[in-house]
This record gives sequence, structure tokens and C-alpha cells, in this order.
Amino acid sequence: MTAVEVLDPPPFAAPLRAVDRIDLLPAEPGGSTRVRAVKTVRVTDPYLGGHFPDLTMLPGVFLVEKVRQVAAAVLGPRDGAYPEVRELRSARFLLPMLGGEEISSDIELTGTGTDADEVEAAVRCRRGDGRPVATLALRLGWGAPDAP
Amino acid sequence: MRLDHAAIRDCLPVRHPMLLVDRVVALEPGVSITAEKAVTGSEPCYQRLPDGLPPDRYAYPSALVLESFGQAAAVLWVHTGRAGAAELAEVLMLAGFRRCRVEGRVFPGDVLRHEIRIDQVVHGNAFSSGATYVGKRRVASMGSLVAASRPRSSVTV
Repeated sequence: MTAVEVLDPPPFAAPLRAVDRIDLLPAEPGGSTRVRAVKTVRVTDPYLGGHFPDLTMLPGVFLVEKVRQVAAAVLGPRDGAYPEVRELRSARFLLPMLGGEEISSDIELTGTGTDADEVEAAVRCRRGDGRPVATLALRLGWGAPDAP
Repeated sequence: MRLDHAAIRDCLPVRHPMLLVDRVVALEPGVSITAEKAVTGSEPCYQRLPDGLPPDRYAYPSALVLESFGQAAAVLWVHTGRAGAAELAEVLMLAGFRRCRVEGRVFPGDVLRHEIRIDQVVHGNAFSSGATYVGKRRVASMGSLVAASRPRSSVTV
């Protein structure tokens, strides 16, 4: 598998470095980009000391941040802007992600051609013992967010 | 009904810097809540950020807007009577989201105002929806959010 360099620190406001390692998975015939992104939950990460004081758990929303940072690293900026979350279509959090656990996320990015200004991300997350912890579907885009 | 910061600490288990609700300006238990969170440049998400980046890079992370909204929904849920303060040995968790759209950027100095209503409570799961504003500008619409209370023992075992 080919490694993709993690943005550390990310060149935008971010609650934490949400991914430790990114590997490209073999491409599908359909043209989507598939990656595996791994993050170990650490009590020393910013914000995690307060979530919770006596029990470290990765907040589910930090998986949204993980997808954002992975998309930024894999797809890169356009006209100076990195891809941002435009819609969290769905997210299901199935099991807690405790301190010390390694959370592995398989992320499929579609619509990643150079002329597409949006991409869809389908995400399945597992912890070290292989049990699913979360599934997400997001739409990301470059430039201004959707108008209300 | 309003809640000051002390009252919010009484009903949410999260703490600095993850406590992302500052005050509740309106609360009708079991029905709706309006809660505020002030965004500042002194938050940890700005700590490692270099100077001289394009202005949009200083936008407040959407993940934290979602988390703040979820915490405000949890405050409302705690006041529905399902889970009172006595049950806060339980861990409040976000179980899911649907159709949450980012509609505007948020920067230090902005005050997020979450307007949330409870749509349904089923088996300890609360379904909420609403929107987040900065002044009159809507910055996010939240189609559905599911909050769940899980016993601490089920999390740590």
C-alpha cells in the first residue's frame, strides 16, 4: 500500500490531528479513490482531556474531522482552499472509541476527477478487534459552503 | 427558563476544552432549547495554526459546530425528564446524525446560537432537529440528531 503524507499540523483550524496514517488502497475500476486511515485515541490529544475527565473517548464528530483531514491530504487544495465538509449525510456511532484504541477507517472518495468541485465520502470505521464502530456518508467541496 | 454556565456543568459530563455550550437562553423542557456558544481564537483548535494563512483557514471546524449542537440537544434531553441529574453516572453520547448541512463559515468572535426541538423520544434515544445561527445568518441546518444515554458500565467494560 502507498502511504499518503498526513498534514501535521493541518494548515487550517482543526480540533486535533485526526489521523495518524493514511494508506492508499488499490483503485476500483469505477475510478473512486479508496484509502485506509488510522488514528489511535490518545488522552493527550487536544480536547480529549474534557471528553471525559475520567474516561477518554473519541467524540464521534472527530471522525467527521478525520474524513476532512484525509480528504485534504489525499485530494489537496484548489485555489488555496482545502475540501471542507458541506453535508454530513448520515453518521451512525455504534460503539465507544476508548483511549488507546486504534480506529481504522476505510474511506471511499467518489467524484474525485479534477473537474468535480465536490466529492462524496463513504466511510466504515473499525477498532482494533475488528468490530465496527461507526459508518458515515459525507459530501465535501472546495470553496464557499452551500448557501442557506 | 434559562441556564447559566454552572447549571450547564451540572447537566453535561464534558469539560474544558470540550464543553461547547456557554449558556442556555431559552428552554422548554421536553420541547425546545436555544443555546449559545461563543467562538474565540484562544480555543485549542487555533493553537498550532501558523500566521499568514488565507482568511478561510481560520474558520471554526464544522466538527465542533456539530458537537456544540449535540451538547445543546443533550441539555434539552436531560430536561425532558427521561434522564435527570441523578442519572448522570450515565455517559451521554451522540448516536447519529442525518442531513446536517454546513451553510456558512464561523470565525472567532462569532456566537453560535443553536435552535433545537425534540421531535421524538424512543427507548432512551432522543431525536432532535434544528439549525445553528450567527446573528440572523444561518450557518448550519441539522436534519436529525440522535442522542443516546448509555450506562457507564456498558462503556468501560
